[in-house]
Amino acid sequence: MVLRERMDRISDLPDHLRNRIVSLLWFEDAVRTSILSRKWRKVCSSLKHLDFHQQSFERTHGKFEFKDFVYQTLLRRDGLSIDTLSLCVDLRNLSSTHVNSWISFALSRNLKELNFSVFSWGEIEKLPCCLFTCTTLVMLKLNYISIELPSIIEFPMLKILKLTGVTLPNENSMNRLFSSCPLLEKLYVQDCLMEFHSTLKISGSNIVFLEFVPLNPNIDVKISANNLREIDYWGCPPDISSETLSSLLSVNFGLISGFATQDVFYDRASNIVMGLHNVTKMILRGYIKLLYRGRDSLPRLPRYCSSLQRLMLNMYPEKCLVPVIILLLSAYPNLKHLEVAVPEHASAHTLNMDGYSQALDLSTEKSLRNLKIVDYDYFEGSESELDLLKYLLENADAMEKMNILYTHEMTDVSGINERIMAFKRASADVVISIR
Amino acid sequence: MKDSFNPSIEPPKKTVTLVSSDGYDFEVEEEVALESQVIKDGFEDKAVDDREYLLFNVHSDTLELIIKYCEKHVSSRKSISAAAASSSSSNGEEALKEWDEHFISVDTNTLYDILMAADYLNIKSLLDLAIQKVADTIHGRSPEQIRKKFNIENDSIIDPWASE
Repeated sequence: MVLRERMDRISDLPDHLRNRIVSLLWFEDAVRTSILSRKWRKVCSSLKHLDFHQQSFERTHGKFEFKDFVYQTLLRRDGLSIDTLSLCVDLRNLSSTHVNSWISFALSRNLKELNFSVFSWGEIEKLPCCLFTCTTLVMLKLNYISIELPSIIEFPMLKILKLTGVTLPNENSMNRLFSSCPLLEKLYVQDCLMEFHSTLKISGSNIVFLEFVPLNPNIDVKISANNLREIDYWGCPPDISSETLSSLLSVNFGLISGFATQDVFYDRASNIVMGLHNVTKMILRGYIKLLYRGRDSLPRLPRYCSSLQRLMLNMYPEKCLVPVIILLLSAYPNLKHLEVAVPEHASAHTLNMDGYSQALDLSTEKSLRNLKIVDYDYFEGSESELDLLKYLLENADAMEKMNILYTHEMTDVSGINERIMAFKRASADVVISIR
Repeated sequence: MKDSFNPSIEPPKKTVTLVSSDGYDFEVEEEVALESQVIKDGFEDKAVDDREYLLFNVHSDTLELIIKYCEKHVSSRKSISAAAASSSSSNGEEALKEWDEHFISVDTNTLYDILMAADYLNIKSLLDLAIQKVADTIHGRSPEQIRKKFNIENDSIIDPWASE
């Protein structure tokens, strides 16, 4: 028994078990096991997901060169394929020649996923040309990097493209990049600074998901993706084809501060909301103001959309907007859950729109018959907000819950609470919770 | 294992006999034994009256632990699904996780025995648990500490990542 206690048994585990153990370790720990003894030498070659993070490496192995660590790890792999390479480097103390040779090496080993990050804003990087014609790459994520594109780009297998903080010289480059991915299914564009003058085009019949959150508020985008299911879009309203709009099931549209109002955006905002025939979940941030086109023209709103079940409006319900919201709600007979959230620092303009609201036909009989839950966050207790709550309580006859959360600046609210509780209720069972 | 008189009205449960590598018999309920994918796969092909499984690679000490694990998981599964059926709240999954954590907190040699037995008998959840435990043991340790913990003799030439 004494002998058994002192035996090295882990080194003799069958390969399939030892490889599984090592694959659960943090990448650096996993690579380090290869120096335990001769029997462990080859173990890290079983790793198919390589993850090199310069900053965290240098925190733990201060004196040892990150560069050597990467080279040695790659060299030990011989001809084995690499599934994913995650590389995060600081180009202030590492030549991009090394970085490019690592990427090229991984690409030559049937790389499927590349996640490349630079945590120091450096010069414009020229990534290896073979990256842009890679026939095995399925996912490409580029983070915080300025790049120039080579003349030939072709990603025949790419399904996921994620650009975070990526700067490209012009819109033409970005258009070229997007159009060179015929199988693209998911596209993420986040925090990218784009000083573009003409239209950015996003198209592809395989795209099902699009997230577009640029830094500049006024980028003009044209979207044509007939199978798009979900969109998360920030910035001025894009030009979206009607086929794309009908295919969408879940949408989140928001404006970015600094947004310059132009007539065309009113039309686009209306077109978007009117064109969403099959949407089940919709979030509109600031869009209601675009749907309300000023006191002299009537808003263009959808007439009927039976699919919508959940609606979130992030806006301040100014007096002039309350009728627009009510009209909008009347188009969604199957709406079950309504959320209203007032953005911070919303300024309450008080416009006298009494005449206008009478001009709108507000006889929305039975339009809110499926509405069960209303959440109202950052409530300020203004007259126009009370008008909206009053309307909802008076008309939603199946409502079960109304949750009102005051904005934190409110002090004496008992008078307002009393008024809310005194509103006539269409649903006898509604529980109103005010916090 | 002792046979005990079961006074409940339920029909007597079918049992099978597991024989450890050192020749001890363990009589367990059929559904407990079937936690092992290897036993399950061979179950249909066996003659109806042959209810004995010779486990040449599992020592009685380890087999006792394995049976304890399987019994616990079979009974927990039942109580979790019963709680779900009556829609009463239960923290069964959480409790089982805690039980697992306690169960696998053993010395390195026992852990190794469990790991090998779970692999041999193909009990997926136990194998996952044991592998994760070994990985957790390695995690955050220097090569020298790992060698000490697992009695690994350093026969390699240099150690480029050795800390000062």
